Amino acid sequence: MENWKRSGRAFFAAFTPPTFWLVTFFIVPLSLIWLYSFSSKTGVTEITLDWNLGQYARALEPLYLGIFWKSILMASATTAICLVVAFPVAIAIVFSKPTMRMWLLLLVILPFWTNLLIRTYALIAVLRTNGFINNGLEWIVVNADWALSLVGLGDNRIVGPFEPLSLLYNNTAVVFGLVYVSLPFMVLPLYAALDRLDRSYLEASLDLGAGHIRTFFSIVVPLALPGIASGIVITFIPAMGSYLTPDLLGGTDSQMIANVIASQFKQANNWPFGAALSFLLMYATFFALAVRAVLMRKEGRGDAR
Amino acid sequence: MTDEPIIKIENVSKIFGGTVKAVDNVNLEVNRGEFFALLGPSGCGKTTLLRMLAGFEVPTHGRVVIDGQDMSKVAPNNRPINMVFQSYAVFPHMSVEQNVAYGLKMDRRPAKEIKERVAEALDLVKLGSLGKRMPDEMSGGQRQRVALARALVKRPSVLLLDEPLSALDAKLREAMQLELVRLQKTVGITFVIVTHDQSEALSMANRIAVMNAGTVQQVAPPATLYEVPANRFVADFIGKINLIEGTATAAGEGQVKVTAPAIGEVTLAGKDTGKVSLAVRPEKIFVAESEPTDPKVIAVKGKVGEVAYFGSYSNVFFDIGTETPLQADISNVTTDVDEFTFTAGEEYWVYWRKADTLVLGD
Repeated sequence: MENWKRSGRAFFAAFTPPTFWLVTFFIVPLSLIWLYSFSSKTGVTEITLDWNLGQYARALEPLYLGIFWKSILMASATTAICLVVAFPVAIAIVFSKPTMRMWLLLLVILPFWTNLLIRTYALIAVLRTNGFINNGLEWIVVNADWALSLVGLGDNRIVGPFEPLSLLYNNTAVVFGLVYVSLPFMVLPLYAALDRLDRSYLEASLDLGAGHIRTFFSIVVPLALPGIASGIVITFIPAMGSYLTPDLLGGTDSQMIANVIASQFKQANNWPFGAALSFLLMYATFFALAVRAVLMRKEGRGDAR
Repeated sequence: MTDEPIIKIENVSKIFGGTVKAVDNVNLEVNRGEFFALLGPSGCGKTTLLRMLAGFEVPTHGRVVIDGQDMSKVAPNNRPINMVFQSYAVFPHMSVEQNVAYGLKMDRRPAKEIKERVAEALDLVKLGSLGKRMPDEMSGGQRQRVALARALVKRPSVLLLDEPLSALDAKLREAMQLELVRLQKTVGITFVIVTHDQSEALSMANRIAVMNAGTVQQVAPPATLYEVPANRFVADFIGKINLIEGTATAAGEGQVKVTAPAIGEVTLAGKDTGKVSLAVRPEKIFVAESEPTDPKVIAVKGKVGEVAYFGSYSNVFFDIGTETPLQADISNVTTDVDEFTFTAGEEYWVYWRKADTLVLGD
């Protein structure tokens, strides 16, 4: 690395293209959006930069704050469910045989190889009124009824007629979809943290008389805290800003903040207001990252050594 | 207290993955209050055996009895045993006090008792003033003391130590050897230590089990192990030894007649016949200018090869016609340098007492 600094030309050659790329396609557009957020819409397409805070003031109105709050709740629920589901998965992978471990990790990563849109439509096929789950349940109910009719208890007297469950187009469907999409983001950092954990800590805990559950909460969780924090952040942030999942799986009241932003840029054609909402979302994200940084510093010594 | 051994290992085998025999039909007894060492090269199964005592491995065959209780169905957290891990495994997110108190909390002891016993345990390992420290603020040696206190505070019937000194530097290791012996005498708990370092085992343990390839080769007190090894492996593993090939035939009560190309024919105490090795320790070999006349010794002519000077003694290699030269540790007993200066190529008579010669079968 030090040689890089000494031979300035090589450093320059390697450094310039990515910097150029980032500045042109990330910093500049982002700055433009940031400027929009302080502008006013003065015509169908005209936007005037007049450094007013009106867009932010509107974004903080109860209607939008409510949607923000709802997004936070949905993302939190997603993160919490992911954490509970991913922990046993990560533990199972860490404790599996090395050859098996590779395949299990592959299974976790596999969904990434399929387009999110396709996965979400597949989920619709599972959850819709005529989907796999409802059809499966119907099959069970109908057959149970038939079986009962053999003993004279048919005609829906015991099991009742089948009513399809409404599994789609509501908040539950959105959280379900988000959990499905986010799970690998939780499993992988947890796996990394647990894999680093020296097994002798667990054995020492057992040796000192703690059962498996006590060992999990007194030793595994505190020592895996950096991984847990990472998992929470990289699950929470994308979930908070998710657009496709609430758009496709949600109902009329399942709009999350990204859907509102999109509608401001598209249908409402109000770029300044969309920009202000976008930046509020970004500030919230930065806040989450700051919380993580504090957590990591505090528990840094929990890193397995 | 009874005379019943505190640990009984009965016909224990451990097979990994269906084929790898890590421990092969081991029978061992450890007495109450003993400092017992499991010694052997890496991969000999000593750590696996220790982990079966702790309950982290389950024997494939056989059983372990601790304090009269069959351990077959007892989980690690319910065994009257505590362990000091090779890596110490001091919980990094807990202070020294919290580490030591952990086991007592699991036993749901009253807070007052925990406080007293933790302080007592920390005093025992001379960490009395460091209770509030975090493990990452301590040296390796101090962390090991925490691990010791944490295990001893539970007053186990047996304390297991897995290579406890391997991570310490040479000087600290020596101090810690004495410390462990002192500690064991103070608390009176049975210690079972696993080590690959023979000097560690010899200096600390009351009895040592030498293991190789999953089996126990010999169980004996240190001096017996060194002076009267049961077989070639033990003789070769513990200390330095010369092995001279020969063939033995029975020659009366407890005697064998050995014919070795390098030394001719000699009758010695022993019982192994057929292909044997005559084993003699380097420090039991002497050097003379002329042929010794004493009939109680074996004497051969040797040509000086390599010489290494170690201050209190010189390690001299003599070519006596065997494949590997005979090494002798000659004490440098005078200040007269010429007296013990050996030059390569010089010829001497080397001799040792027949009584110091062991006849070892394969």
